Amino acid sequence: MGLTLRSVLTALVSLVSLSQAISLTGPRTLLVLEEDVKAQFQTLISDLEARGFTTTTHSPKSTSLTLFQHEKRVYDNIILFPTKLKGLGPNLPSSSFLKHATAGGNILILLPSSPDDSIPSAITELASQVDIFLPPKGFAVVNHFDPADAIEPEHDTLLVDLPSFPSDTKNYFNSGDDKAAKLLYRGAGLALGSSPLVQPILKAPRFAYSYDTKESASFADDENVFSAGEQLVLVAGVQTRNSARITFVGGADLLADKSFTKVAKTNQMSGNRAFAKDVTAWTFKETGVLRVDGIEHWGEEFGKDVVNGEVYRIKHDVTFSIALSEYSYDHFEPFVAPADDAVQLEFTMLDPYYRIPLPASSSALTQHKNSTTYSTTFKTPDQHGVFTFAVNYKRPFLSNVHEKRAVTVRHFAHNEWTRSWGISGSWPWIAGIWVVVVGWIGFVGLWLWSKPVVAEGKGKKKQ
Amino acid sequence: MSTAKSKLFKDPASTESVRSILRVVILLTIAAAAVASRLFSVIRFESIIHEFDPWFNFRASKYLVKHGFFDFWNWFDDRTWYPLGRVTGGTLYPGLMVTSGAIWHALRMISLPVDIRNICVLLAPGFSGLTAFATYLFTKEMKDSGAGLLAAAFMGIAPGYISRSVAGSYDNEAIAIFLLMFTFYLWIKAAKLGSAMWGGLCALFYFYMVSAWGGYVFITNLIPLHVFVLILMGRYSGRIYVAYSSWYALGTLASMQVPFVGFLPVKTSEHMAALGIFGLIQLVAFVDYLRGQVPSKQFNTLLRALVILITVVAFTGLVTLTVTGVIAPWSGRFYSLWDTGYAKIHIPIIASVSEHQPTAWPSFFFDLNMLIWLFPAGVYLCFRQLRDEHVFIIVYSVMASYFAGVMVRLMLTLTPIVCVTAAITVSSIFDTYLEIDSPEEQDEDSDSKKSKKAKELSGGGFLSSKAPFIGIYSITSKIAVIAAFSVYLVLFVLHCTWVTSNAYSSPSVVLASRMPDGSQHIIDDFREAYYWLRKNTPSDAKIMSWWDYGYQIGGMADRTTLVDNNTWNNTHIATVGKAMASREEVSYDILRKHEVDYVLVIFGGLLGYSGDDINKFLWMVRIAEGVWPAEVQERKFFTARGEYKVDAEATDTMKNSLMYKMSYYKFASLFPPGSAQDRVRGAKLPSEGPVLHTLDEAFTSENWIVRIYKVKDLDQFGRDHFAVSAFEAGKKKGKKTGLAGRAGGKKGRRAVRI
Repeated sequence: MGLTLRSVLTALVSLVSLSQAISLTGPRTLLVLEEDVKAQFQTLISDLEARGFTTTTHSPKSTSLTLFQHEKRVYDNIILFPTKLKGLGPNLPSSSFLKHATAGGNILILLPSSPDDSIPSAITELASQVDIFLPPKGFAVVNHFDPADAIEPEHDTLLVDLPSFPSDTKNYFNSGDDKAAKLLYRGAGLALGSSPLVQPILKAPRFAYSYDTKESASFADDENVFSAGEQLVLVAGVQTRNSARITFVGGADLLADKSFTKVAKTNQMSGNRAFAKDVTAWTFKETGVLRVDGIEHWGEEFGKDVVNGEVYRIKHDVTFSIALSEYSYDHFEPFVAPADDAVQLEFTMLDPYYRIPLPASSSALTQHKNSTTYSTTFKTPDQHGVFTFAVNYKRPFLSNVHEKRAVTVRHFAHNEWTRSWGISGSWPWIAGIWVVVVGWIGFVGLWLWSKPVVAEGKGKKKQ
Repeated sequence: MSTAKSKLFKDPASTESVRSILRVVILLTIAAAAVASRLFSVIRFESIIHEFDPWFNFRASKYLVKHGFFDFWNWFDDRTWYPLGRVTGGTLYPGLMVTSGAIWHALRMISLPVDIRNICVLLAPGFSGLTAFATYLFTKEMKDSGAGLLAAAFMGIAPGYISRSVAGSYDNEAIAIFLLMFTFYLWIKAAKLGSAMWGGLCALFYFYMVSAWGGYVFITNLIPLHVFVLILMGRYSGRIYVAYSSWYALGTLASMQVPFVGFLPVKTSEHMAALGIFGLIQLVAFVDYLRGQVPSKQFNTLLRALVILITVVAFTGLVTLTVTGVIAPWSGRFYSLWDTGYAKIHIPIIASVSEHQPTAWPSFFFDLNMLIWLFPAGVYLCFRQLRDEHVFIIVYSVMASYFAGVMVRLMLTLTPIVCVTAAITVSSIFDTYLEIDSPEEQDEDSDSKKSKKAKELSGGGFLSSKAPFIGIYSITSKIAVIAAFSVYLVLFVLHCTWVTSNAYSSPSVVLASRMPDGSQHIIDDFREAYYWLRKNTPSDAKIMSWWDYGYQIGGMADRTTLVDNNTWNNTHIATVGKAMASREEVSYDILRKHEVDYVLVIFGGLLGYSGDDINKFLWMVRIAEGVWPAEVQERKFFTARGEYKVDAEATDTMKNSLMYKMSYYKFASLFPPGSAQDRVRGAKLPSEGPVLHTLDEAFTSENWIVRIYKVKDLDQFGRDHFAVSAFEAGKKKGKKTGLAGRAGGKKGRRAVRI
């Protein structure tokens, strides 16, 4: 809820302040780079500015650079370009990036493409905190089977297909016109730990591997190989629990002007420029952001008069619906879950009593413009307690939806049980009671009325 | 003493009206004294609800007053036992709340709007006045009104009863003791008169008692026992039959209307005695009737055999039903009445309550003072007369003495009978020694006096009661005895006042201590902390604490609790115990699963407050061990030498437990290095205190008695909290920049992401 509110508020604020702004986090973008590097990324930066981002450039060593002022984020997005320097300045320790992300800001990190350049330790630390491993200086990815340019002896510029994902995952990284376009990549690559928060965006081809160019120029054995094949990741995205995004690009050249050319081998335009747009758009929350437009639940007991009530009763029908929309560059549109995926509802007390899919439905009470309503009806379990309607929809590249609504499921009140005469099994007993009652009254009546004939009554009794 | 006065008048008949006025005045005075002596706490502190359970009763009363009776009946409380909730309306004895609710409505009806809190605070003293009156009526049936007045006075100020009925002690016992005595009075009356009306009244008050206190089982078993003993003594009569049958039939049906009791009277062993005696008395009545009709001796023998046979068959049937599970076996609480070690082994949760411990013998003298040695004398006097109602006193004395010896809190049921028998004793002594006229030396005279008494005693009795009555000749001995007893009585009053003032008038929510200059210093940490919770946490915040504080948090802080003093779910309590006794990694998962926001611990180490959580910790461990023997082990909390230590020698399990960490977190920083001292356990603490990773300190009260911790949220970056602390402390974790992702250096196994 807090998350939704915040994103909506951010959206509103940014709409008011800058009508052009389109990122849900905000347009204020910090470029950490030296002037000489800027020339290599002119297209990337101008593309960003064309999409409404306002850029501020600072050298990594800059002393006037500060990410926080009065404990508020100064920038919404940060792009760290590769630097020739050994380390970032004193104002950019690894903890400042963590703090920036904790406050909801996004970070795009471009690692150097050349094996000769080193990675600042602040970035290595940051990577290790989010479960990404960076190779040391001197590593490069090669693919001897499919080099981008056969003339190039090192084979260290490789051709990579646009990312593809299983059918239950939305693909935000092939929005270019040419779906078959190849990407030009040059760099060292990354290895990922097992954290569920980090997802590979672009993986290396099957036969590519990353090896130490200095120590094993002629051949590479297991000791000198950093990672290989699908385990070697070229671009990885981290989404923190508050849905801030940190993207690591293994080789900065992927987004540099020099890659936005024709691929020599195929003589087709490379897909890099479109991919650069996709990566920045995802990182800066122009795509893949879900919004909960409304949650409604109501029960059979009170009907639709009481929506989002706090109390339900055991063994009664309850309907739950949630409206979801998705942000796409400059507007929200109905969120459509991938075909093989389902939004699910959990009805939980310590453990889920139900985990049922929420199909898209049109029967919700309130229809929200630009959103899909997912809805289901189920019967509350025969167990009273404080239950939680939980929609825990966390998917790769989609912002986290974790909505919880605690409601009380109460027991039957004393006057809500079936009355005794409503249970057919009780009829013999009820009949028995009344026979006794009537019989006793009859007996008393008989006894009183037969009083005058005392002798007879006593005579009978004495038997 | 009124007895003494009444004896001064020569002709009792002529002074009847004066004496009844005197009786009323004396009873009113006694009631006033009873109420007044219970007001120490209100005067010293304020009009506040005491201790633990009263806070729930108070909260329930507020709910009743606010929502009305029907909502109260169906009350599902979602703010306790999170997330299970509690069907409160069906699991409490509503008598107390309904009583105060009725008083509240009655006062409003006569345009006296009184705050429900004040009614709750003053309910117990008010009812103690009624208890004194009921005791008067009861004792009057046993001896005479003189003894009755004495018993009322004793009952009014006996510490054994005051301990549960001072102002603010708003517990079920507050009204239950009155109901107990009044039900017994009505029973005696019914048994004496053989009246169905008195039996019906007795059933009515029995119903009230059932609705007010779980101790009603005492009545349920005592009355049948009385009847059984009478039958065994061959004293069966139509009066007993009418009284018992009307009481049992009506009382049982009425008691089943209380939701919490429901079908227990026909399904549990505790109630089987009453049912069995009901069957037996029908048989006996039948046989008695037949015997009247058939004079044959052989036939009588046959009948007797028949009765015995049926009894045996019925008993066997009962045992069979119990074994097959149709009738619930005795509950754990009852087993612990027979075997005091039972609870400690099988149900630590019952044993953990200090009220359920066996009584230490000095507390008999502390709570009853001189009454305790007058008690046997009174029982003896009952044997001398031994009318039907005296049998009741004897049975009551035997049972109550036993139970009071087994469980501290049952001292409460012993107190009334001790007051009654002691009053009979004192009254007899005064009857004998306050006679101004010395007896004539002729035997005829004393014989004639005796013959009067003998007529009264014609109902039966021991030989000793037929011994010739002598009387006291010497004025000196009269004066000596009377003076001695007057001094005893004065001392008794002094003792009662002293005990009430010093031992039973502390609200325990507020602690009082003395400053060096003798002035009173109030330690108000509990309310400070609960108020902090009320003001600084979201209204749906879940607070985890040991169950002792559940009611107080619910009542004072108005926050949701996981467990409370209504210990109905052992597993849930054990879960909290496990969270407290485990390492942080284990505890954090439990806390997350139960959506705990804050954890509250009581820590007395700074002030020397011994009732803190570290001292209760072993019970948490034991209860948790009962459910998860593999994960929590009591042995691991003791040092190799078997000591329970909190200092540097404490075991690792102890030091890593969440409870230890929360209690001593930053405690050492209060002291100069190396001199941290726990005043409760007299232990010197290591200068480096425990480190918490998954909790943040949120609040610590002025004297450190209450400490509240906030449970940290999951890390934004998916790290565990230990890695976060390590990172923040600047220790770079060993994630090498080398061929990372490998388990052991360059040649290690590669971590593969699936």
